[in-house]
Amino acid sequence: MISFRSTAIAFGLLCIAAQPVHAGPDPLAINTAIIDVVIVPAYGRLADATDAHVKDWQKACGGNVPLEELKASYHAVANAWAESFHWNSGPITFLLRRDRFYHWPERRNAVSKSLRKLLSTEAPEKLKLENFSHVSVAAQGLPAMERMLFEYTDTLSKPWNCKVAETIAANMAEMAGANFKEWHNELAPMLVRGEEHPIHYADPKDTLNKLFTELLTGYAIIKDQKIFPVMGRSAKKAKPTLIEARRSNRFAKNLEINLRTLFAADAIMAKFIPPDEAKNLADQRKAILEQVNALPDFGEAVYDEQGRADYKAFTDALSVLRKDMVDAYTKHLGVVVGFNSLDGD
Amino acid sequence: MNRRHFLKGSAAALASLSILPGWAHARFQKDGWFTGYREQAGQYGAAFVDQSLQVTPVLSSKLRLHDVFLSPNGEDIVAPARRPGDLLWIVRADGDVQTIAAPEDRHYFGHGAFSQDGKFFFIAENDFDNERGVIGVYDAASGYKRIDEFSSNGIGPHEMRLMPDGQHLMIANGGILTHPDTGRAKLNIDTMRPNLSLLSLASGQVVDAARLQTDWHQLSIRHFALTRDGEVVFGVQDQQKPYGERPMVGAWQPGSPVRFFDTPKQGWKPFNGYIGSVAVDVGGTVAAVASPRGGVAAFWNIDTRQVIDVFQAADVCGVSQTHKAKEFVATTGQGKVFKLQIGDSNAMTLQENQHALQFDNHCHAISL
Repeated sequence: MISFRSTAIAFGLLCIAAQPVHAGPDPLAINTAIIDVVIVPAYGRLADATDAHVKDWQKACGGNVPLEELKASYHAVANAWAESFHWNSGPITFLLRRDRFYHWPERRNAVSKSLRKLLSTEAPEKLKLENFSHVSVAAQGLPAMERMLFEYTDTLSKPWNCKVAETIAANMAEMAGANFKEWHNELAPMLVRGEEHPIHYADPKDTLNKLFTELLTGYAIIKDQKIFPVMGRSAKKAKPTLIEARRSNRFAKNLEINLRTLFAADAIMAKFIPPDEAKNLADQRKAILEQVNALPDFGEAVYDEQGRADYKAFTDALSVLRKDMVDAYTKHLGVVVGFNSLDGD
Repeated sequence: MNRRHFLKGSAAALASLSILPGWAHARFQKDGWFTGYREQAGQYGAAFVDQSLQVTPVLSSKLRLHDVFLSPNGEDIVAPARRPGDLLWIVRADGDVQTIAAPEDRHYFGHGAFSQDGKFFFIAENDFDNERGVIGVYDAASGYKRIDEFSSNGIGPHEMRLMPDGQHLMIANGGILTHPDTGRAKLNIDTMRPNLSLLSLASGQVVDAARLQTDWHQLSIRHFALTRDGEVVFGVQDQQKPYGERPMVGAWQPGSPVRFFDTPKQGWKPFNGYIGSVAVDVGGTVAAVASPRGGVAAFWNIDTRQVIDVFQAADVCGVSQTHKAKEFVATTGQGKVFKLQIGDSNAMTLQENQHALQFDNHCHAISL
């Protein structure tokens, strides 16, 4: 069944198809396309997936949904989050939603510690959504749900534990739903009209700069948080326990979705630059997707010389693409990539 | 060999930094500023900015530097790596380059301070396994051997400055927990609790500390400057969006409550939630802050707390005093160096030079 949110997305896709190719450095046209085709649809899918997940939990705690079905709907939520992992402006930042939804990477097993604390004492008041939003962010979102489903074996058998999991799901659904609603009903219409939003974005040029900066941040997250810390400086110093979503074995899936969502926005921007440079970027994106699909299992590769070399080659390719993107878009689209403003201390 | 040991001669470490021909020239300058930079080719380094705003690269590095210090006797240039780096570079007067690695369970934050007599160099460090900040004590006379440490009284220590009495250290504990296993990711945004701490150098104990009101605990205090009487003027980095609702610049005199400066007529939004450096003029009456994310530098009268002016400059971050009262230099990530004079109600550009280098966060005044 196609939901209302998915219908809105399909409309957006039709709109982008009509965009003139190489229309010049028009920030509003680029923003509109990224918002309609990438951001709002991704958040729509996140809202839909979290809705379905919480409904599954409501049934599961009554004994009507097997664990495997819950895991499947968890994966749907995780897929949707992987599509929007790098956006760090707009409604997702309200009320620390982004941090609460995905507290990763974590400090010293903070998610398990926070969950154990929550599970150890039955305090129904804490599970009211208005109260739950104030418990540790480590216990509120997707990484906590992963523990409940893939690490703890008694989530379904213990009523209190099941209720905690159901609350985590409801909390995610509340955040994802509000975020989508605010984007779809308020922010996106304003931005595509070229209006300034009083809180989130200034003029279209500022909006494009922010979106582009966050696109670049996505590449940095992949390298600096998902890959380098796990690889360590040598095979001896590898730390596979730091692999993202290792309990649900989602590292490779997340990586592929992350790249596809980054590439989707990149491809839109490339429509507005000269064809030869757009082709260079497209060729690189294609090669990187082939490269990522051929990568060995990360947990094993970190101990293996060839495996480490494969991942190093992959991150090198990302760096080259990132540099070429910066060169092309600063030159043709007028975006500004700051030095201090992009990565300060 | 333990990383705690001195690494002089380590090819890998030394290869990351080299002296440029400009070093000899800069060595004999009486005063000016040091700043980190990046050049177009992606190489990093440190440069000397002279009084005429001419820039001479003096060091070249494969790794990005942060703040750069000159020892009080003018003999050593010292640069701790930025977060989460773990190398300390020292360049001697004779051009000898030395590198020291942080202890196995520590990394640096790019900031430090010399003791008044120059015998010791203090470095902000992350004791990441114990989730606390420490001040590492390095003995300059014995090749910057790390001889001691004491607590910074918080998480994420960043900028530190020696107090005017020479007996105390002021440290900004930004409150944000990071760990080298997770790169530059911020791990405790919901529970962070920054502070400014006044530490005794004799005992390492906390003499006084200032925290912001509870609902502003996500204002990370990272950078500050001192007036001659030891008042702290600080800028914050807001970790909670949307930006613009919380104040970003304030002052603290130990023994008194924190006071925020008056809101500019444009509000706080133009700072885009981020102050990257702070300076006080040599007269001690004007404070300057720079926000690269907002593309503005702003100036306040310290006595009245009133805004003087907000100055537009893309990617501006380095800001420092000059010899003259009510005068500052400012550097940008787009290669500009400004000399600015601050009047009663406006900031005037006295000089503006464009260079090919992208200047990094801090511009540090030196005066021999």
